Amino acid sequence: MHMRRILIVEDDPLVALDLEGIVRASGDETQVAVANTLVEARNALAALAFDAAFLDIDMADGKTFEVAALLHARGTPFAFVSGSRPEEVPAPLRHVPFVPKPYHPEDIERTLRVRLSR
Amino acid sequence: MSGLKLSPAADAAAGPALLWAACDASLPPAWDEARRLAALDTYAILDTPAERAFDDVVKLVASLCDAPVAVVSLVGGDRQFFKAEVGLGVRGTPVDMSICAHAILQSGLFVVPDTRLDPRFVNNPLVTGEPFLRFYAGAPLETPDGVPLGTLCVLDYQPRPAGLTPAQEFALTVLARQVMTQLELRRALLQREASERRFRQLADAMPQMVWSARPDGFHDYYNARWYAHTGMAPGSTDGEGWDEMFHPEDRAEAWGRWRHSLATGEPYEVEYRLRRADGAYRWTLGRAMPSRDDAGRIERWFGTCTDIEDIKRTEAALRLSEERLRLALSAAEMVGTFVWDVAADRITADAGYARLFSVDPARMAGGVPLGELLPAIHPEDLPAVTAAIAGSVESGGSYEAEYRLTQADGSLRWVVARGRCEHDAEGRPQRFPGVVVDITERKLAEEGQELLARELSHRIKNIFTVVGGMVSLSAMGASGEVRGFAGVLRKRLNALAAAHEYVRPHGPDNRPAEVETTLRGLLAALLAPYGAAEAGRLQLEGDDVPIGVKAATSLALILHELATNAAKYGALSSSEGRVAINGTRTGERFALVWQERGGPGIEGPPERRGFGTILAERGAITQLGGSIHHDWAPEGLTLRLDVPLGRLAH
Repeated sequence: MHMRRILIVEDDPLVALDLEGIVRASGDETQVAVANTLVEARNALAALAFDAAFLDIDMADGKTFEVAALLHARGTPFAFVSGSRPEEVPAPLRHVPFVPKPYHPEDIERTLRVRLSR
Repeated sequence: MSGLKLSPAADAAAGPALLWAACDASLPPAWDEARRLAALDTYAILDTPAERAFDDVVKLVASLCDAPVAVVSLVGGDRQFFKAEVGLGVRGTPVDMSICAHAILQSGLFVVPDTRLDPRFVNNPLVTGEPFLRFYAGAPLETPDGVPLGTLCVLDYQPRPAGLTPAQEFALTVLARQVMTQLELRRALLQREASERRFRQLADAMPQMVWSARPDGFHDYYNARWYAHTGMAPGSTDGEGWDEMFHPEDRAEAWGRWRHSLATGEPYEVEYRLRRADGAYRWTLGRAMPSRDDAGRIERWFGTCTDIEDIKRTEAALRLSEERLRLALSAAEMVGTFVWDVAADRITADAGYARLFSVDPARMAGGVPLGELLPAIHPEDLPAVTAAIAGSVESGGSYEAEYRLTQADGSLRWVVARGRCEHDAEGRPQRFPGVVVDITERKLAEEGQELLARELSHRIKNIFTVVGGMVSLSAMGASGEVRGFAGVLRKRLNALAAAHEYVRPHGPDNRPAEVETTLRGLLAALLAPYGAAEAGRLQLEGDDVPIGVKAATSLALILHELATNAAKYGALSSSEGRVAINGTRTGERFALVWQERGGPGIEGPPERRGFGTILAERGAITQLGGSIHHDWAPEGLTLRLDVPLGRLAH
């Protein structure tokens, strides 16, 4: 079976760890990469192809909309996981699934299973 | 011979053959080798250095049994390891040379009076060669589950047909248990260290300062963030060393509250100025909660310190700008007055008005037509302003509009205009006097407040997210039951977060659709995840009432519990089921009735009340000062919540 590879962009280490655990538990053949900064996220995208991604919006070094645009351009399905209001997402990205914080692990699993599988 | 328990002093006399026959008849043990090795692994004992506690035991047992050799042997997969030994001079042997590996196959004492008469050991290199062992007696080292890890044994170079004396047997058995107790103790310490290490890793990852204290108040831990913020050397603020980090004026207050919490077990919360590494005192919010053991005794206090200096500053800045607004309003040029002669279309106004509309004061005093003034109004606001003017001219009613005025230098000023159009006896518009007030400062202050509220909301959601994450991470690797509990706890936390988001102070831009925060709005926010409202399965009817933050917290817990149970067992668990929620206001009381119909039939009240139900009822009784009544009718649950109206607004 194909090894699924998922990117998590989240600046809070604890939340990142939690998301990683949820994503890993959702499937056996899953590789997870965590980016704690925008720079790490861009580097990860430059180096690897991903099957899906979860993006926080407000990072310590800026907002993740540029990373989102990059994923969108590549056709990689992704979702925002954020405490911001969905209205703060720029219009071109409004169709992207939005999981509000605080989330429940089931929200993440369902989003991954239903909205981010291709 | 009865059973399997060998009592070698008596049995050895009957001859070795009988002894082995008894052994071979032993029942299969309640463990297998894989489980035994896994158990041994949890003690992390193999290849550890010698320790006094074990050395003393082998010396003692050798002396009591008058034996030249005594060993604490732990039997691994391919070798046995000697944690302590006298008389052998080695720390282990391959397992195929081990007599102990045979000894652990049975419970109780294992005695070999003469190894040369035993077919299993007659060819053992330790018997045929150095050190020519002839006698063996071993007591198993058994875990509390009865899984043997090895033995405490004594050996001799001479055979002993009579085995050990009863007193020696007793000593060997007791000391084997002693060794096991020592192993348990060692493992408990290791596990405690590991859990402490995990806590510290978590705490160091927190974006806040975190500390812990013993039940007597002695501070025994601070995370890395604390040391980075205060610039203190690790360990230097242990005990009461934190005291001098506080501003001298705030120490008495902080100590008072801390002592009160230690005495009562109540949560600790206080604001104080904390000295940062650069010597600056910054306002800090300190909080702590006790963590209790199963019996409810406080085991430890866990606390946080949050730097709130910036929030305090913003608050102070807001107060200052409000002050400025008051001053500004008292200054004449921030207020303009006008009179519009509607029939002649001439507006005459004072210098303040002229300045706001960027018109020469002398011309303004002489009068200008309305059309000359309108272009100063921001194009986005213009339609609303002209509509308000037209409405007042038409009806003769009062006029009010808030709009932006473009200034000569291109900047914008916010104003509020108020006036009234006077009609003559025939109902024709005549005079239209009014006033325009510059409210730019107030608008900026409102925007600041809005920004602050939004930032606070964002942070609180993040804290709920981090707490939820900690709940799941702490349950990771635990039993399915614990993980299930963690999942339920996260849902409760999220219901609280939703209630908080609903009732928090909102600015004009992001207030939820309702003007006030009301019960119905809260219900809609809380029940949204169940998706049944859209399907017409949740009906909200009857009276609505305003609610406050405290009441919202209790209501959130109650409603979350009801909805969760309805989705699991009640009306929302089947596709035909429906829930009707009805509010009735009677005098100073408010009744909320939750009625489930069309779900699976009910046989009666549940036999066990879950924690969530208890929590919800306590909230209703204590926090809301009300009562809860359940009616478990066969066709569905009806719950009636009765509360004083006044408590809901809190």
